[in-house]
Amino acid sequence: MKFCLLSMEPHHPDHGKLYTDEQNHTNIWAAIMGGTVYNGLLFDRGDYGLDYEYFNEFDLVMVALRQETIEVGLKVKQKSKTKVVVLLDAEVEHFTTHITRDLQAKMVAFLNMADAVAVLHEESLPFFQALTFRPVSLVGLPFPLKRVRRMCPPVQKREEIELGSIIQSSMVRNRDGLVNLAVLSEVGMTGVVDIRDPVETEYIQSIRKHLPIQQIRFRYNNLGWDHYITQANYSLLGLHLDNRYSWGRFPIDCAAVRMPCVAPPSLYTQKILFPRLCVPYYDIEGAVALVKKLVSDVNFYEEAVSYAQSQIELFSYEQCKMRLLNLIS
Amino acid sequence: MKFCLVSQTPPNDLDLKDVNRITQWATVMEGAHYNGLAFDSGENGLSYEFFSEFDLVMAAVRLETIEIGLKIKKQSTAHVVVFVDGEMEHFISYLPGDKQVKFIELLNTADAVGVTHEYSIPIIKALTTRPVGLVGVPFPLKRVREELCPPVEKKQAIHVGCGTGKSFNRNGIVNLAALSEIGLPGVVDVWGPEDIEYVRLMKKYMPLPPIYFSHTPPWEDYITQLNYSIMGLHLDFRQIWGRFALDCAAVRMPCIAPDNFYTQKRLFPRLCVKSCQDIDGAVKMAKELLKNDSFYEEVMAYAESQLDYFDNEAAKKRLLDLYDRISSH
Repeated sequence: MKFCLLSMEPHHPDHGKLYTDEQNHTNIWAAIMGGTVYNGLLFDRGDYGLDYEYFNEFDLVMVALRQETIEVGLKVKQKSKTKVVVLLDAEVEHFTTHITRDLQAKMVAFLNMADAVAVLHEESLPFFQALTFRPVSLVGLPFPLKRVRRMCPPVQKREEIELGSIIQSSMVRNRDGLVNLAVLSEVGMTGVVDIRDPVETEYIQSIRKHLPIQQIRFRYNNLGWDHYITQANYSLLGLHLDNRYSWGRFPIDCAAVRMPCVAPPSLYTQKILFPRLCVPYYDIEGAVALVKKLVSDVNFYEEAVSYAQSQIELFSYEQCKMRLLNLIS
Repeated sequence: MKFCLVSQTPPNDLDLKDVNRITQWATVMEGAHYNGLAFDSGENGLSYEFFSEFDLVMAAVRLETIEIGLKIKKQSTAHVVVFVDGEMEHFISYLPGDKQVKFIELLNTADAVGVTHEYSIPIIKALTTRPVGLVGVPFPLKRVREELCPPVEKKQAIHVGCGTGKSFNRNGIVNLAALSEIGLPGVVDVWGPEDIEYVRLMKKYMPLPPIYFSHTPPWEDYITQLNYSIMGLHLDFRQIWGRFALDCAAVRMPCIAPDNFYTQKRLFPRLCVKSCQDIDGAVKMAKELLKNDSFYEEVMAYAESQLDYFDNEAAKKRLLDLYDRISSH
């Protein structure tokens, strides 16, 4: 099957070529389908020198849908004969609240023109099923487990908590980083977090004038995902009190490096992998209690990790590919 | 007590009385009300020292007014209560890092912090050493019951808390999706012809029942129209006070919503759906309300038993209790 993914990934030298990068990212769909990736906006602007009829070359085009790719997706469907599957590539609130209603109307039109719709959380199924006559199913993102297991052998874990997010430097959402900090303060353990800009450490220093924030070890992530995952392997557990209804790349990262994760069930992977470690995002007390139990009760820790291992196959290439093929068949 | 409210209420609305808006704090406290942004830009011809005239200033803060709250505290001698004016997600996820730092500074510089949902208390408590209390917004129940909304014959229609927003939809599209599954006519508040057009566009793809449009504002007209519906529906994801559920209870009709509205959690615990996407749950509850008179009456009797909590005097007492904690802090 000739497969193409249209995403919002910034320009990459492999765009238009056989995509082989195996990371926990939307683009992995192209890698496991033996296909290629284009940036939707760059394509639309003509940066690749191709018109929309070009997509006739493919058997299946997956449009990773965000506000920027709604109109691009519509054009793919209107100007080519290819089969199109929509992958809802953002938290549900992005589509229900944060895009303008003009775009919402176009999104609903697109959901009805496309051949199928793939969602990231089972709780989103009834809503998207109400918006479209097309088949809707949970597909998710494939996870490069074999590669991660090669990169991340079992190691001696440090007494540190890997945080899914902290305070950020840009208008890009913080993803509840402050709530993670609040839990960290109550737990009294060192936190580790990836940051993109040194100013984030300055923010924490400024907050420390007012609050006794635990020690945080900052990890600059300009070395990429591979570096992040090999370093995350050394943490004892993960924590991410994110309010979004989303797939949840963080809990599966944690499971892959054999550590438990405390997070809300609004992250689908958390719900599947760590049902006993699910808390509402605002439940600081509950999160603190779970973290303390994981640290003090070896059996509880091992049971949580062991259960996650028993479920992680659901996110394998084969299972995800099968879900996608079932959806479009 | 000399009280002043500083909010983002548009200057033309500052003197509104007895409506379900933040302005009601100035009404019940018999105080002054300023638009923070206008004050800061000098439109009132006053310096921040002016606030020293007041015993208590309530600074209703969002992104735009955090620094105004800080200036009030630093440049006047008034006691300042920060009112967290919006959904919790706004503060923990949508504020850029530098504003989050200022927000935490304000939370720790002010004398106390008022929130609108009990779920927000642990988060805010972790971010400040100041007293934190649930205060909410006073509701003009007497006016609604005695002046605006007498008991009427209810129409077989569901009024949605949001059907179409000018820029942000607040999950209006989810409400429309739920209406399409319930099948009972809906009532949608609109501000202009473009709002009606949005619903018309959605109707192309969703089997929407007949939709009646209620032209709004002012609030008095809205609540008068609301009174004629048989129930309310608002599948909103925000963790917030929830004015809509309270409006519904005041006009003697049940409301289906998630418990991330504090008012919903308190007034209609049996009508809380499990999440903002729980269309199946909402449909089931709506159908049960329509066919089971006892269920309808029981949920209304319970809401009635809780309404006093939201009245002007009860809200004022909560604020004064919080104020008392300032002196004992």
